[in-house]
Amino acid sequence: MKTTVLFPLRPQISISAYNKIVTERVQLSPRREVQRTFWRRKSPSALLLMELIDILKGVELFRGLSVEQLQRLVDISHKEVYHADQVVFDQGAAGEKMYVITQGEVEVRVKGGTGSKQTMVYLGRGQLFGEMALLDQSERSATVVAAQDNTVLYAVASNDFLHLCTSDTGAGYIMMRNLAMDLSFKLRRQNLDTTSGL
Amino acid sequence: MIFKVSYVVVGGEFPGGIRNEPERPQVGDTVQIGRLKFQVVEIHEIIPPRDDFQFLHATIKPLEEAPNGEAAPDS
Repeated sequence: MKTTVLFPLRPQISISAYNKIVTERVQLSPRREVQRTFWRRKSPSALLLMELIDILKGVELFRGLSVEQLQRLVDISHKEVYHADQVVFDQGAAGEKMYVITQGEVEVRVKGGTGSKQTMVYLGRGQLFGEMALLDQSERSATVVAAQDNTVLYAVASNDFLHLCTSDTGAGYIMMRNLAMDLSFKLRRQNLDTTSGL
Repeated sequence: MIFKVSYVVVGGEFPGGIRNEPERPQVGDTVQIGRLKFQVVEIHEIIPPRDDFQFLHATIKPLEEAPNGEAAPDS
């Protein structure tokens, strides 16, 4: 059975983790000691949460959300890791989730008139996809495939996202505005492609 | 500051990409999109900046051949 050291109002940690803290406090300079001890005393889940909130702050969709609102978003999102060439979803499938890329790259392919799939764009870190089906409840308009190993996505189910938007209308307004901005950016990009003859 | 960059390949068939960059890309920089490497030849703002985000459009040209041996677009 694992023995734990109890800290009042702090996360519980194992004896070995506590010993590591003490050892490091001896070895490090006073300034580093404080920083290292602070981080060690955070529970793993708290660290993960802080890391994830930092990642989400860098995603345009979540620009303007408070830490509390981001935390609610973290509660309804889950991490998915893909290897290169693994399909995230197929064109024509039901759209139940939207995705945020936090690491790696995905390839967006659309089936042409001949039935062959043409790559439309590569999306990298910080980008959002699958949001169209979330908004209009229709089927997937493209096939999305991971373009790199260890492509990390955070998926949010449509129902959970829409529920969050209606239960916290402030967060809902911000995210819907940011969604519109993202679609505007993609439309302007497409217009530039067209005008440049691509 | 986060730079949301749309990369478009000059006159080619390669689709380009969109991603967030921690630093503003410069003309002459090399970027990898998919399996290919490209050089940035032009950059301009696509939408005015908001908060910590800048929205840029970068024109790029291929630096290398495609892995199947065919010449990359516009190379």
